[in-house]
Amino acid sequence: MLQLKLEKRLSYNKKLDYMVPALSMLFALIAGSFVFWINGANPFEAYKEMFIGAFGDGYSISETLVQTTPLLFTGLAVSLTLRTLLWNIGAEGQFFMGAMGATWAAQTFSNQPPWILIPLLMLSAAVAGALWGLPPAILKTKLHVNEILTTLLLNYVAIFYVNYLLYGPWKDPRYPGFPQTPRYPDAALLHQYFNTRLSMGILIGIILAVILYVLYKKTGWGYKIQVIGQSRKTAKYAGIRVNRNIIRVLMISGAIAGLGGMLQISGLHHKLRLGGISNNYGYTGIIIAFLANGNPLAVIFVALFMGALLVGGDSLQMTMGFGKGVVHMFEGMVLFFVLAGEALKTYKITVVKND
Amino acid sequence: MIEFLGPFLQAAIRSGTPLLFATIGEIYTERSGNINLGIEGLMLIGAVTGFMASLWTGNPVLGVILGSLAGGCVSLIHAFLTITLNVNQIVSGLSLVFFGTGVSAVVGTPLVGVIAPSFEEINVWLLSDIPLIGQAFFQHNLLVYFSYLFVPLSWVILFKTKIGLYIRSVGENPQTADTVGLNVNRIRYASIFAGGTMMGLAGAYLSLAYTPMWIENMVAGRGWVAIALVIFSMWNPKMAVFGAYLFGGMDALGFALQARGAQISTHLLGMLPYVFTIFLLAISMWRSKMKSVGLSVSMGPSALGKPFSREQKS
Repeated sequence: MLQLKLEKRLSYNKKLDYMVPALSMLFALIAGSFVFWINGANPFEAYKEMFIGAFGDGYSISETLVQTTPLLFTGLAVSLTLRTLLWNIGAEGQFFMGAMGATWAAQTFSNQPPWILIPLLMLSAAVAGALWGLPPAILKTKLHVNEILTTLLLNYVAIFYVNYLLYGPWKDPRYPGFPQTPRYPDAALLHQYFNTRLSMGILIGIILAVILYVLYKKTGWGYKIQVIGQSRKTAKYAGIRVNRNIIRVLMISGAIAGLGGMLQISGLHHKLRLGGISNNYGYTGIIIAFLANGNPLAVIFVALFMGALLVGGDSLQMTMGFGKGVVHMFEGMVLFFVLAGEALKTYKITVVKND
Repeated sequence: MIEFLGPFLQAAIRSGTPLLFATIGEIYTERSGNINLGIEGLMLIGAVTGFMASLWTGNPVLGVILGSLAGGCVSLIHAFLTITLNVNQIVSGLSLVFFGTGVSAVVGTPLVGVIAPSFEEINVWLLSDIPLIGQAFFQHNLLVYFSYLFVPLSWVILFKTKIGLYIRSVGENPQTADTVGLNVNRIRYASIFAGGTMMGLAGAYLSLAYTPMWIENMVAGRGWVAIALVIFSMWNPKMAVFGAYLFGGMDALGFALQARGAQISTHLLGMLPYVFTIFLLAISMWRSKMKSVGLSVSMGPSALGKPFSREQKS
């Protein structure tokens, strides 16, 4: 019987660094075209449609950036926890809680001027997101409860809670049929530039990525969480307070995702509602963080790619009738091939005969 | 009280059964030393395939069989990546969730709003007339009755047969298993496949017996709940029954309370099962923490999550 066998590569081939991701993408495109073809669509047409939809003209590029904005925040949130080898699968819920916190502040301090109100909204959103990251952090450090499960389960709780607010106490009385809050006061809204839906959120995201990069590379804290990520034991011996840092990381991660939720409302939707607030941004953030290997600068580019995929997928939906599923399917396949590619970087596959 | 309790227990079992299948599927997978986080995706694959197959063949039993097989086949992607290519099991499982969500949505687009042959409730002769117990346990669809056989069977296979011994030894101590001549990787492949079919079955239950329709993303987090239930049940199919029905009970409680006219928001009630699962997780971790002081209590298979290769001793 023939069997595949892995052998560790003795010499590291630099070329593979570029070849593997490129080939992974190519294979994912080929596999994706198979699905289009099965569903009776011309794969070339479909890909062309996606590309034009995402980058065809100025407006589509701006739409791609609009989708990139929340992905930047969720991607950065997850990438922070990845550096400590924790998985925050809860960015989706933290994003919603952030939007909730911002809405609370917008309603409570509605007569403040923008220069007070906007920072208040941001703070409130970050706190709400951070608090949503707290229970998993405590359970992780006190009882070793797997944070993947707790952060994920809290997503459902968050969405049900926001639903409850929208159908109940926070509902706009003027539109009884719609689960949404009244519009934010003008002072709580971010300006949209160049006749598009683009706000300064994208800029804040990029600045945040740079700040995180500097924090990781240049500060003691960045070094500490890196040591924790490599080995909790080593970190403990080195006198790093592991538990305290784990709690901190999960809370900051929640705060970043929450901030993304605030910008999504202040910059784009202008009121809290359920539909369209999150396009699975929290989950896509996990993929982004993984593909970016925890590097915040790389997160910017991967988020842009995923944003383009979302917008392209949308235009595919309009012209060819494919649902949002195409995008997820594509994401999944890219991941499979990237994973397989990563393995090929470190191992050589040989076929051996086996009796 | 009985007129309340009967329907409540019935509903608890109805909505707990898919969790039961999925949880036992993950127990088989993890017992062999592999974590498959892709349950959510595999259940969706099973749900959409099962529904489609039932629509085409007109036979829901065939639908369930094909749905299960689809779950098993897709789980082989995870097996290939994690066993043959040594890829991180967490990441591979997550990818499977995305993949399953996407593929099922694409394939299922034409199926939304369509009605396919599904499982009807069958009252078991005589037994279903027993007060309370009859309604709770014997007024169900065929798949629920199947689960009554499936749970003890899966326990017997895992703990009382050679096959189960192989699976567990590969998960506890792959090096020793290898020394006595077991093919570690092949057994893990088989366990992942078997687990995948059970997850596919759980999905097909949702689209063919529980809902019964195809709705995009209809698994709604049950795959993740199943992973939590594996820990709660301490990797034992017998214990999984309690976890699954408890969760099903939480699910049913909301409906039951509302039916009785309680003024509670459905959305707040919807939070209950998830909060409860987190609570269960905390309890089971606390319990094993207490016990592990005295004797070594299983915190799961020792080699869980570790890839096996002959060259490197771990």
